Amino acid sequence: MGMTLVECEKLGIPGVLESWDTPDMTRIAKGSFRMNGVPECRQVYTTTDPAVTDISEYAQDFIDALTTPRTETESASGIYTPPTPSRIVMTGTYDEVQDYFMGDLSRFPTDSSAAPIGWMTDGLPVVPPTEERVAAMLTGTSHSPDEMVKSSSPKGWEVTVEKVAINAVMAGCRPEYLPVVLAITFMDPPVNYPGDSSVGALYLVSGPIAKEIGMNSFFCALSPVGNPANASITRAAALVGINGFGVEVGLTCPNRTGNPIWSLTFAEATDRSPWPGLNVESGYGANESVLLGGSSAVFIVPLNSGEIASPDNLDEVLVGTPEKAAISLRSARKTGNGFLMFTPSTAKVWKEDYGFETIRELQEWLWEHTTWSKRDWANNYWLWRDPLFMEKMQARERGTMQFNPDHLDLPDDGQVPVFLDGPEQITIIVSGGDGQGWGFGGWRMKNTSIDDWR
Amino acid sequence: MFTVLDPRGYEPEREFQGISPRLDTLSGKKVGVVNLHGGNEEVMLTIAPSIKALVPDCNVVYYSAEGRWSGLPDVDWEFIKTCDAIIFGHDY
Repeated sequence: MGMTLVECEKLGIPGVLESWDTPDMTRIAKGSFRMNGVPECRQVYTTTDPAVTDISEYAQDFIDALTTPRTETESASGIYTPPTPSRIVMTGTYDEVQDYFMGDLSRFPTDSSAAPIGWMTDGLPVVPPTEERVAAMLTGTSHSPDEMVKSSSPKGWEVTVEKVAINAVMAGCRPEYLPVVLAITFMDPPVNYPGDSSVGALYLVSGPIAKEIGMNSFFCALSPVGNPANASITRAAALVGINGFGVEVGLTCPNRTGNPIWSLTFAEATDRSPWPGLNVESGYGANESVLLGGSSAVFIVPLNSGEIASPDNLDEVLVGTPEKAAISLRSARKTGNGFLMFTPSTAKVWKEDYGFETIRELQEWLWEHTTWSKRDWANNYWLWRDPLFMEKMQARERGTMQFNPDHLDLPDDGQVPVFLDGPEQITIIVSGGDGQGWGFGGWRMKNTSIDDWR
Repeated sequence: MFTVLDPRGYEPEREFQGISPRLDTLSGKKVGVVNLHGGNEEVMLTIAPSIKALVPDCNVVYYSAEGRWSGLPDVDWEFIKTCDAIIFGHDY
């Protein structure tokens, strides 16, 4: 919010931002102006009161914002030095600590559309991050507490190893989980504005550490509930986003409907997969632990294909045949990359009965068969809005598309791959309990070493 | 009693600059009224003619940006750079 206006001001074009007249929204906009280097950008606040129907009364305010000479403060340039925060935020009883982190919920009027939002929590009570607990948490890594891990939006804050440890304590993590939380923070913390999707940010742990720390990759592998590692790491990621980087749910990320879960961390069943793990597929060793995934709009459609034990016994609706998987993956175009998720049992069927000896073979088959017609590409208006698509296809002018030169000569019903960069854009995940099951989804995948944070 | 540590990240030092000089008047100027993210047509489409009514010789142009959440593409900046002043709105 506000970044575009800042760019205009830097270009010498005077501007003004129309904003809702809610204290939080104006505060968030001001923070964005400061983060982007022009803190005194002007705003005109318009009402959110539906009873006010004559918006034209604000016209003079906009004119004034563009013509009233700058004040001395508005003209000033320099270096902004924020106040040095205290390392200790408060001392109190358990209940007082909870109240402090929750913040003053009464400032949210109950008759407003703005529901109360916890200040420094995800809405639930937290483990008090005392000096002793944080020191114990820091034994989970060899890194210095003062080492900077990441600077990120929405407020451009910087997060150190100690800050990650504090949030891990609050989430209920054990020290041995800390390298995973640090890797999440380093790679792509859940701070983005993911839009309305299944999951705001998805993180997959591949490699030995999943077993070492007791992550669940069996029944209910996608459900963080019940397993201490899956649950607390998932929660710690959200708290790092909120406290470390300043995410304010509904304000810095006003998703229309949001995500059933803000971030989700789960584990690959590397030891039960018929194929090498994603750590190996990503260029690491089988004994290395790797984090995959990222913070973006993720969708997941888990399906139960309990009817099948081999391709000779097919359920018409839910069976994950390669052909149906390719059709499903067509919907992953918007997210950039796609993935298929198999239970180990279903992965075995795909290897032994469908004949995909390696993940690469499967990726290549799916890539060749996951296509849209040239006509579909051209007719999908929303692709216009997709920056990745814009980058790849270079839209030239409204209503026309510049196709990859290889595709220009195709007829309208000629097939163009959905994943423009190649087969590696389709990730094959093996996780879950015994029995047949598969799923598909879309994400923007990155990977990073977890071992680097031990 | 619990003494607890601050979980929040640090705000770094930042360079900042002032806003650009304002116009003496909107008369004879081109003002872009830009609907940044869609969904704000009601306000921006009302504001544009209202400014025109107050400053009749101002060239007020309503513009719906193509860019969405990841910044504006060149086509939007090409329009913005033709304006003497800009009003942005974004439905929140």
